[in-house]
Amino acid sequence: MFKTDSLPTPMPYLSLQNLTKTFHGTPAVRELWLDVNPGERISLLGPSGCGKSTTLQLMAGILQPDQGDIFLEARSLRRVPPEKRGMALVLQKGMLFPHLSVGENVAFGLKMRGVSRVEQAERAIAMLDQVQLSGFENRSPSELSGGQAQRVAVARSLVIQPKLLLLDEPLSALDASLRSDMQELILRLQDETGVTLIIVTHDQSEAIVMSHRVALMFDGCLRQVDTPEALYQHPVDETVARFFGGVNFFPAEAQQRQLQLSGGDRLSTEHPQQGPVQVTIRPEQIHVMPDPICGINLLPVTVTQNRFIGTQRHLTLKTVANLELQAWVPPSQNFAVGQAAIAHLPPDALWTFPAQAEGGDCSEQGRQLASTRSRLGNGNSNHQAPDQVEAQSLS
Amino acid sequence: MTRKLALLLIVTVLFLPFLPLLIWSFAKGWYFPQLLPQDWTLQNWVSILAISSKVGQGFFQSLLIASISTGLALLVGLPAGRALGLMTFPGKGAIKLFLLLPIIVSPLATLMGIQFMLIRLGLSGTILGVVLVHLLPTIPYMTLVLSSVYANFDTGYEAQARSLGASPIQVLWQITLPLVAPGVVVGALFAFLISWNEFLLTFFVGSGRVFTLPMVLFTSLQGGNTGLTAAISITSILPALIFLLFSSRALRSDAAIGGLGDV
Repeated sequence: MFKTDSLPTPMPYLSLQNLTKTFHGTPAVRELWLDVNPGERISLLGPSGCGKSTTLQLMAGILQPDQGDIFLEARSLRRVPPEKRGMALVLQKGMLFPHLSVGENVAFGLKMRGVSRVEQAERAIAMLDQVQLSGFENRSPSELSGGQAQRVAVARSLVIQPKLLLLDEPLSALDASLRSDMQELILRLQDETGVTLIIVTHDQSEAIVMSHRVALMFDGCLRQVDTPEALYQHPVDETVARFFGGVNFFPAEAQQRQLQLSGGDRLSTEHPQQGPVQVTIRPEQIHVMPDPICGINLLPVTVTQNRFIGTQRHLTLKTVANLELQAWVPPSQNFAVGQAAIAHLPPDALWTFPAQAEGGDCSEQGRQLASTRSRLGNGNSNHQAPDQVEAQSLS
Repeated sequence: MTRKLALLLIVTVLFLPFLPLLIWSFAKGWYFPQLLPQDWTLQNWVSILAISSKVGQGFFQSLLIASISTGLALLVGLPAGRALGLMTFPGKGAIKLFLLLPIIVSPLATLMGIQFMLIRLGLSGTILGVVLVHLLPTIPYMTLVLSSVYANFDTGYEAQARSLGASPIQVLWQITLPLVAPGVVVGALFAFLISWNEFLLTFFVGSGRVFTLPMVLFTSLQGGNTGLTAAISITSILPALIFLLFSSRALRSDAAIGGLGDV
């Protein structure tokens, strides 16, 4: 079933292989492949209902996959019950046991492991110190604020020194300022303990702050697994780009580094491509200048809208060929509506993807993402979103 | 102050019907138009408290039967209530309706068949037989109460405990049962009192050989000794009162109730 054309690579720390989970005929997770390195912070990002929480529950062993397997330290978890997996889960609502005190909550995992009472107390108190809740051990969970409860939940999970810390939207119930404090705290604790962290979130800014790599999911499929920078700069398709705030998309004909726009303009890019492509550029990377200068990738434009949003100015530009572009410029750069200007699209910022590659088949992408251990395509999912066109190779 | 007054009023209204019983149990004849009995006596209570009395036997037999019935109803009701409260499956509505049957249908209608079966099984007139028929009304009550308790139970607690290293048995004892305890207490209270007060089923199935407190009360009522009957009545109310006091303490603990909300 597996190709063996590549040299056997050492098994990654955590490996999700071809995970599929269906609920009542609706696929929640489809043929998902993902490798995670030890000590890595990785986030599963996607809109609600994309299957990211299901994936986490499959890892934690709360759900069993219909297909595929999970390997932790090269050991299959297929027959391992949740309590033997060495993974600690933190859920959105904290889920502190209301009939136990804060200290007993933190010590719960130790108690289940048969740690002596004295050691339980010592380690629970030390852990509470680490989350800045010294002296809270005798309180009842009902006396805690939302942020405190969530810190206790994190402490309770870390005290058992898990191989994997799984966070399921842990901060979404908290308000904005508390959230950034908690993010800092979790990052610091991860740094100190070196625990491998998997965080599920629908908030892209949270995913970017919290993780080394972001795994973006739509409709139960992994779309792209990459560093936050790569997701911003080099999205694999328009959906990914739009999810990360991409607003500028226009078709072009690519010939290596040359892009021929439908309006007649020519642009050059540092990312070679061939054939009909969709071009994108992030709005903050477009430079707008009032006066003509010499150089390449310059488009004469008219400013049609100018919105001041405090830290930036959002300009809407229209080229001679009626192409609309959004450019986010420093607030000091003021333009009158109707004013002519020059837009500079830096070649390194112009990113392209094949025009028809939108969507694509899940297994196709899964195979790409698994890179070394690819699967020969059979299990073609019969569930296809209407906008998904024929699966094509993405590269 | 007004709160205390209101409470006093409620207690008075609730317990007023028991006052004549209390007076009767200490009276040596109490006839119209006397406001209070002329002569008082402890005779009724002395005869009840005599170890060998029918009342004592009935009391302990009732206690035994009600305890076993409650225990068995819990054993069935806990998993059944969980299934009905947490899971979705075809025919769930029908099963809930089916559970109400013993409450809707008069036991008199089914007694013939039950009696026939129990005689064939040799269980007629035994404590086991009585316990079995007491399960008819207690299991539905228990299951319905526990299903609504489980409907409010967040299984996230169990998933959380599992991931922290608790085995399914440990989760049951350390997390689930403590969290559903208030509901279990309510269900057990219902079941115990239903069994404790059950007359008709015991009367037929017991065939005069199983003699629970309601049976003792019934025969005493037929005997016409009002003072003794009053004393037996009060005895038969006692466990209910004790159970109620005990359970209200259990229900007051907000940690237990907290399990039904979120933290």
